[in-house]
Amino acid sequence: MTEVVQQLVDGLGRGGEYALIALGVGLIFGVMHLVNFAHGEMITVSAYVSYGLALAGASWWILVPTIVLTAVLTSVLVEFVAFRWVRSSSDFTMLLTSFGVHFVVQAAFVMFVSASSRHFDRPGWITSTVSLAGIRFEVVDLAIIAATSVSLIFAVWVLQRTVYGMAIRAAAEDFDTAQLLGIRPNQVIRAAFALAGLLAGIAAVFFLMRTGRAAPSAGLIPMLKGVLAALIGGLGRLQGAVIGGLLLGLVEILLVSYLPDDIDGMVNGIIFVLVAVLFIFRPSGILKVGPAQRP
Amino acid sequence: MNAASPSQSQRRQTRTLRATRFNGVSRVGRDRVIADLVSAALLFAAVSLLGLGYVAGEGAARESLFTTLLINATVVVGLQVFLGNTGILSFGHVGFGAVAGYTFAILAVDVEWKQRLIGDAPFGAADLSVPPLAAITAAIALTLVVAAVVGLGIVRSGAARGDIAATVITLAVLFAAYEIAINWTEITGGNRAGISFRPGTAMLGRSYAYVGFALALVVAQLYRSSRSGRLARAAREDDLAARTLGINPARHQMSALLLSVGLVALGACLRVWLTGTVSPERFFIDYTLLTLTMLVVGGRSSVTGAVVGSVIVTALVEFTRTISGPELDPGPFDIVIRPGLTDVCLGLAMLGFMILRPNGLLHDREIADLPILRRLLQRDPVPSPFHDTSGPRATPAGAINDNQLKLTDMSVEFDGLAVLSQAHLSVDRGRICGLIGPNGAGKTTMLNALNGIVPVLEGRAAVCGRALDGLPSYKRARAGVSRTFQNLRLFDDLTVRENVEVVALAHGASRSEARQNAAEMIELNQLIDVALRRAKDLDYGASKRLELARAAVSQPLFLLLDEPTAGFTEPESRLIVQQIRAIAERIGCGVVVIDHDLAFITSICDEVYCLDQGSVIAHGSVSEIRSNPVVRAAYTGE
Amino acid sequence: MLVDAETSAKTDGELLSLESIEVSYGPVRALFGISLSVGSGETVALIGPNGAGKSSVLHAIIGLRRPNRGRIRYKGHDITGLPTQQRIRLGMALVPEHRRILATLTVEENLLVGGMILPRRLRQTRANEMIERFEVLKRKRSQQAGVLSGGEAQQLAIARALMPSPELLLMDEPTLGLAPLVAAQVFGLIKELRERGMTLIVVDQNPRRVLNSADSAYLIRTGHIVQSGSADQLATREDLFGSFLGGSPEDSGVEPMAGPAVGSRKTVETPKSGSDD
Repeated sequence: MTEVVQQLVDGLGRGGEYALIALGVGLIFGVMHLVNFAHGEMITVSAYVSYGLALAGASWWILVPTIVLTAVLTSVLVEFVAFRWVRSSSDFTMLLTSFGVHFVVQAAFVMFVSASSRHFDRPGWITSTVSLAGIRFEVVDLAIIAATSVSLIFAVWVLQRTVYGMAIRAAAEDFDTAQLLGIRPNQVIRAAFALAGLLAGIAAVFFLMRTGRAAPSAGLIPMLKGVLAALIGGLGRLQGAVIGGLLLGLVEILLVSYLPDDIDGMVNGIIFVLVAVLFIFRPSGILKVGPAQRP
Repeated sequence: MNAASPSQSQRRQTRTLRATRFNGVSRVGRDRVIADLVSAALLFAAVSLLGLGYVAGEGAARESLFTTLLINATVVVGLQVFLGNTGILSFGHVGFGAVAGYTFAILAVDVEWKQRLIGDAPFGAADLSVPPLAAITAAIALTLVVAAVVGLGIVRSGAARGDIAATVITLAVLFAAYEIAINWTEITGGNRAGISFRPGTAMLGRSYAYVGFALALVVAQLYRSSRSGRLARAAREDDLAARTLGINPARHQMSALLLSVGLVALGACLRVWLTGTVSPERFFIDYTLLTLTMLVVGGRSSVTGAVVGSVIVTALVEFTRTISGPELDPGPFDIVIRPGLTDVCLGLAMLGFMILRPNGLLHDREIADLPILRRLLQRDPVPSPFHDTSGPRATPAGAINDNQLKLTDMSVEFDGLAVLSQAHLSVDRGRICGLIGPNGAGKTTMLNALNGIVPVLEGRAAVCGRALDGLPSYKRARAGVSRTFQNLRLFDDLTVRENVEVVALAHGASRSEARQNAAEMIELNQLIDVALRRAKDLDYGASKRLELARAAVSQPLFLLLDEPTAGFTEPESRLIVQQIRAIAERIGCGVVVIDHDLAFITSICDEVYCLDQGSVIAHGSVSEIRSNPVVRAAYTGE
Repeated sequence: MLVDAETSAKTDGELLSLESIEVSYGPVRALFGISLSVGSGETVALIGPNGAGKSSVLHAIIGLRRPNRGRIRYKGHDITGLPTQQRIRLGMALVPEHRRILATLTVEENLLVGGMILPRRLRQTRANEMIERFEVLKRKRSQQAGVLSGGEAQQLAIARALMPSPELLLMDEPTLGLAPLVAAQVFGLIKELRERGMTLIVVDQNPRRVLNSADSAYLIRTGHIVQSGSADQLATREDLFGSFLGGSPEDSGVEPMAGPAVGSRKTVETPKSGSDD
């Protein structure tokens, strides 16, 4: 029982991070039909900024807001520099553009910093645990769950309750009609990127707290997991992205716990294989397809 | 059309046709194969000459660079087979390459050496060693099996959720291969060591690189003009139109994927053999970036483009490598010229091409499109007039119980809104039936339901006694229902002739039959002058006629036309009336035609159905409909 | 309640004018030199067979389609080059063909998004007003708009367009696919708006009904204006209706026009709601 609860908490923590990224991927896909393979770059850039600040002796109290801010700015900047120009291009072009952005950023860090990873101090409490009702939890897990819940609730609030969120959802559903209602296309896309950046930034905070590492490809695996989670939930469906993220996290933790130790390192590989196989049987993702859409 | 006394040349051609059929190989097909082989040979010769010139007397470093180019070009041409023909972006090919590369290395490295690297390998792999060529064959075979399984997911989710979903899955494939290569150390040697050949046993001659490259060119060229390749490209241009015209995109995407993965696997094995080592990083994102950049710089829709891109990007990479090398004093550029420069340049090249020239340097032009070669190879000659006088097609034997297109109690809803409720329709073959009704009455939806491109709540559809219910669109098309669309849905990047030919091919015509039938339809629709133009360059009238030709070339039992006169002036509409009549008579089909122009409907139809609010409100002859008060009310609100 | 006091003050001045507008879809020309003028407070009907270019006129006015020639003036300003959102801010609104309500948003959210350009306070107030005005919307206020029936969805689409209190309301086929009774309701609404002094341009395939509710009308065929005049005058021209029911152009007294005309090549629109054709 204890073990199950621990794993559940662990899985929710991990899944929450993926959900944050997946939600951002889903948002951007919704407004401009782009799967953003450069979504991990927000984490990468934040990682190097943290590394720089940590070198200068900044504490995590400063790092946390900086990371989030960096992610938001990176996200908006990437839209402005690259995606704006291919907005009406084919899917193929947009996908390769995002892939190109990922590459230029990664290679720039190799060029100007180093190909090898840089480490900075993780916060002291990261390995500490607490006991609740006789079950030991890692503090960081609880913090992640708390923070992701708050951010997801915040994101849902923005999307559901504010008129900007409504505008984003309107644009995601029908971009032309949104324009007809006076919504400015540039603004709504920028807002989606900013919100996606914010969510990725929060995920980045915990990712960096856990790893304490800045590397040119730091954002790659989180990006991929986020994109897969969004796809599992049915691309473009925002609740689906969250569910997909949580599910992916839970599966990952279960695999880590129950796989024999000697193939522990294979977890990511197994997950990717599982996802690839999943789509043979559920080509539309795990969620039920919505109401019939005309072709 | 049915010339009473065929001219001399026509008779001759008919004879030739019979003769070639008798030989089992159509003349058209043989010409094509020759043209493809010549194209491949020219490309091969061009690259080889370039390489020999570059290498001549300059030593081993240059030779090794050129061999690398050949191998990379093999991989890129392999990528082109899938990306170019299907239009689906794949990151997974390098992942498949990893599977091939590792399999090859595990099989080919000699036992004694292997014991030191991966002595604990499972499946007895550590005690096994086979000759390199056998190892390559086995590696390709295994990779194809993996690709066939994963490809099912790629193709199926591509069909369900669009090409983007397929792309994301290919990315998962790349990462899965990488993660497994890193972590399954017993068999892969892990991240650091990998598997390497005993020094001195790596590829000795460079000749295999030439062979691989030549093979890739031949396969890519042949596939490009093969039936499957052409159908895949048609589906690339417009998936929906392709399906309603009898093409099953998934099948051709799968063929393209397997061929493509086969070539990439071959290239990957050669790469491992040449460099004598395989490690996870060698078949991961960097190599994906390199090969994809090569492909998009040259133009992904063209084999020649893939080769040109490989050469240019190889030169670029070599240049950046030289200037960022340690031996050079970079002077004031110290900051810029560093490791990583190559990747930055590749990334920027990719970005630049995507933003400024997404179709690459060549778009889909091939070496055989050079004017001089075109004449020499007689590529795409202007079609000769048709002269097969077989007349209206006889009803296919079996499976035919009646001669009707029949729709019963058909209901369709969108978002809970009834668009079609209990609608019915029955049309005899040989008759022209009009479908009228105010905007929003459900006319197009009726055709969509017949085609199986909208989910049907209830109702049955049958053509000549054969039930269509539950069949996928392409099978319905093959059962004899073909259509045009309200908004043109042509295969934009294909020529007029290809647009028509692919549909004939999809319906099982042989290559020469397809060409003949296409030629007939092109003539019948007055498209001869523009037969070699791309569909997207046609004016509106020609586009509409092309859509008609494309729908009719499969000799359907029933032709469904959605607003054939939309956007036409009166004289143009009259022309279309004649054309539709001629076509219907020629292939002996029934026609269901939607139009708002009642003058047109009056002049062409034998009978008319009037729809309003998703139901049939009247049915009868043209004059009955015209005088029907219910119809009048529906139109004018009286 | 539906119209601000400011707009309802009828002025005799011209609100909108189109001067020789030409519009093309790729190689296909849809409009050939359309000129028309709309006075403030006037209701104008655009009639004509399907594919004549009626919707293209509305798209040119609202800025969804840039004319390749000609000039559009609104309140005395040249707005030919302005993007759609700025025209909306100048007081125009379009009720699009097929309604295009946002099916995944609730009824109220549809209204709020419709009032994007309003200040925050006013937005909720206006939405409440609309919900009060339309019985249906009140009942389904917090349901997803996707569940609305055709008639309800049309009312929502109109209410949404009215959110920013436009001075000029364009309506594209507002009765498309609606049952006669429901269509009559929509025309009742049009009448109400007209009485309150709003300027309206209504496109409808159904000539009788729309002419009954309009001040003036233009008959459009193959991208040209072939008849114009007061609505009452056009309504008496029996011969015009012949052309809708497929009389040849000779019977309709309308000269056939030369040159290729309408058809939206490669503008594949996929309406998310409503019915099709």
